[in-house]
Amino acid sequence: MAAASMPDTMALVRLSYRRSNSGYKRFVIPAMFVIAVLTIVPILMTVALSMTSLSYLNTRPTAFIGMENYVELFRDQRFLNSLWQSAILIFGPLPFQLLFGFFLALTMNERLPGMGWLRLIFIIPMFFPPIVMGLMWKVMFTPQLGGINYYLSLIGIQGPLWLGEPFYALISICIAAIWGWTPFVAVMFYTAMQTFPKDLYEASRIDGATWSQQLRFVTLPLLRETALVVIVFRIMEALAIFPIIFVMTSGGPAGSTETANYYAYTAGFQFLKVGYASSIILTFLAMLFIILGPATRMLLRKVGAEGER
Amino acid sequence: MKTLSKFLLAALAASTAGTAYAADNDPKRFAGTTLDMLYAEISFIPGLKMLLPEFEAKTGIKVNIETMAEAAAVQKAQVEAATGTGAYDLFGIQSGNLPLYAQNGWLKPVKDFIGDASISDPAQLQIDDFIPSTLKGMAYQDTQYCLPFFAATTILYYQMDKFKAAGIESAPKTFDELLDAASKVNTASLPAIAVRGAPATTAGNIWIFNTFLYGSGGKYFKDFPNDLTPVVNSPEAVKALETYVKLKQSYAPKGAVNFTFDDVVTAMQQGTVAMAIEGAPLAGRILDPKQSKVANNLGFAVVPGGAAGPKPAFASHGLCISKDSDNPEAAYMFLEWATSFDTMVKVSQNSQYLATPRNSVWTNKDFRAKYDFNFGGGSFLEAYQASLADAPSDYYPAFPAWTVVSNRMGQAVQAAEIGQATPQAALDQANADITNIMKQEGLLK
Repeated sequence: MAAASMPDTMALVRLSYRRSNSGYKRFVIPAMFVIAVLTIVPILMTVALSMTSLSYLNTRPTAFIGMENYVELFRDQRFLNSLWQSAILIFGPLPFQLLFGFFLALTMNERLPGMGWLRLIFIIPMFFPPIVMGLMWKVMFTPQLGGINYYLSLIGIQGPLWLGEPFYALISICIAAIWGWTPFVAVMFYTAMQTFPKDLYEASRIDGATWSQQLRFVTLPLLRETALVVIVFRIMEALAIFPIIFVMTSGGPAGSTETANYYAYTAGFQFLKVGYASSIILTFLAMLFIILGPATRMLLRKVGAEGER
Repeated sequence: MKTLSKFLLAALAASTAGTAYAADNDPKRFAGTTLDMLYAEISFIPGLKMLLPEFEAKTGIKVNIETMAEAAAVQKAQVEAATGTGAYDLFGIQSGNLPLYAQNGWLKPVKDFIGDASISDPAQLQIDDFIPSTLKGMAYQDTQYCLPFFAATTILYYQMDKFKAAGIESAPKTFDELLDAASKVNTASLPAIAVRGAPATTAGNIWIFNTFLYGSGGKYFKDFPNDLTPVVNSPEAVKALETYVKLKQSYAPKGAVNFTFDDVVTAMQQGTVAMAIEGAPLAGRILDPKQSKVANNLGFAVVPGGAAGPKPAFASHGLCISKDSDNPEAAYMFLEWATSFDTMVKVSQNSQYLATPRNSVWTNKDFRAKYDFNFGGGSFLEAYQASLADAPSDYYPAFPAWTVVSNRMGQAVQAAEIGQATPQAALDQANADITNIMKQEGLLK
């Protein structure tokens, strides 16, 4: 009975879908509404705010000041520094995450004894909330608490003041970011590798390809699209490095690890210069769009083309 | 709405008890009200929480106190106040932050409630009992906005046996003596001194650095509040920063630029430094018998000074009523009770709380018995009181943009400390930037 009714139901669904070809709109509306309320409206409000002088530091009435905040931004050395520091913290860890993630994925993809457990261990950092991750690395990098400098001293290296000097503070945050997000890259690569057609490997083996040749001529080309997705995701997500900075350095010492979004947070929530903070974050977003736009468009076009096929 | 609920309450009381009637001076006339309060988890608050059932039994008012880390609490309160959510009836506020609240009209001043016989009891309030500077810190332009519960200042803590071993007779009184003592007591395994280096704000290095700045005769503005021209690169200020940098670079633990107050407390408590300049209210934690390794070995002194004498840090923290509170009268009743002599004495006994702004508590027998530490290097409470007397009540210039100015200054102090810039260069740049900030805020032409 149940088995017999199944095709009937499917036929009905198909029929109703054909009858109201525009019926899907009804299902799209709630999602559009949510996106509008949670994303588009706030962005428009931020755009509006960024053109005002809204600040709780003075009693002057809030006025519409056009692009004045934006002009001021490019005279603000702190903002320019923060852009540079954002670039380092977004793009610095990326090659390492890709490289290490790739090798982790290769290892996970091998059928070795105990690999089930190893896979689990590899992705453990993904379970750490960024705040906890930051705290953990702060402890590791603090001289009084031992950690990294202790192990360095065992091999005769005197470790630097990791969080106490601008250059090393940036490196420290990069290391934490590499540790924290390499597993994500590995999992993405690993799942992609799982879908690779086996016959390609078999064919290449018959042609006499070695393991390293397979890697170079089969695996890597197949991974290219995944790599693009991973890069776009990592850059977008690198904004989430905020909690690590907050915990590890609070943007210091002397502002040397302050990223643009951290500066926006300071300007908005500590200084209460709401208009100015809005202009900081929008400028930063615009820059990210310019960088990410082409990559995302290429990706969407690819996905669209595959859908047609 | 308020009158309606009052009416309903009265009706309810009348109908259930028959004879009961909520008279205007009835302590229970706000029974059933719930108040929400937000502040940092600083001493006094945990002890106060323990006493809340007492207040509820007395008035029928239920109070929820939400606490978080200081910086987070300050920010959350600011955002709540600015957006007028009304989620909290009461905020804790530090004196340096009051101008922001007062100027934006985010508070209902307590002066509006003081003297209202139906909710205020002069015997409980005893307003003249507050240390004047703490009361002043909770006022803005002659209006009393809040009542203080916490009087913070800094003192010098030092390990007496380390001083003795280094041949130092008494606690350093000047910056030169401080540097001298530090050089004598400093060893590779025992750095001489720990002071806060982070964050670059009033909650961090500025809390300490201003002692050096003012003590050396420097200041932020030419003549606050009449002439707001920044003068943070004056010769006095540069000398102050040089002293500070020398002290931190040569005699502080590695990476001390990142030390928050927590790190300083731990270092002093564990005896891994010979000296610390830190908040006097933190003595409770530094000397906590369960954790302290230096409890019987600590001496206490007023912080050293320079040409202008000692200038210990000063901040008062108070309880304030939000302008968006639905129950300001009930909130005032709570506030007056919480800052009363009785409550403070009880909190000092049920928890580690000694930063009281009430003179009468300082002389209270139980209070002195618990906190008058003296391990042979002088009385702690005396050092504390002497510091409060020396501490300038305008330790932080009272104007809202101070948070931006102090942050900029904090960055300069850090930059000099890590050797990114010389003290002179760091302060020249800071002075230019602060001038710009003041212009943007319309405070300077």
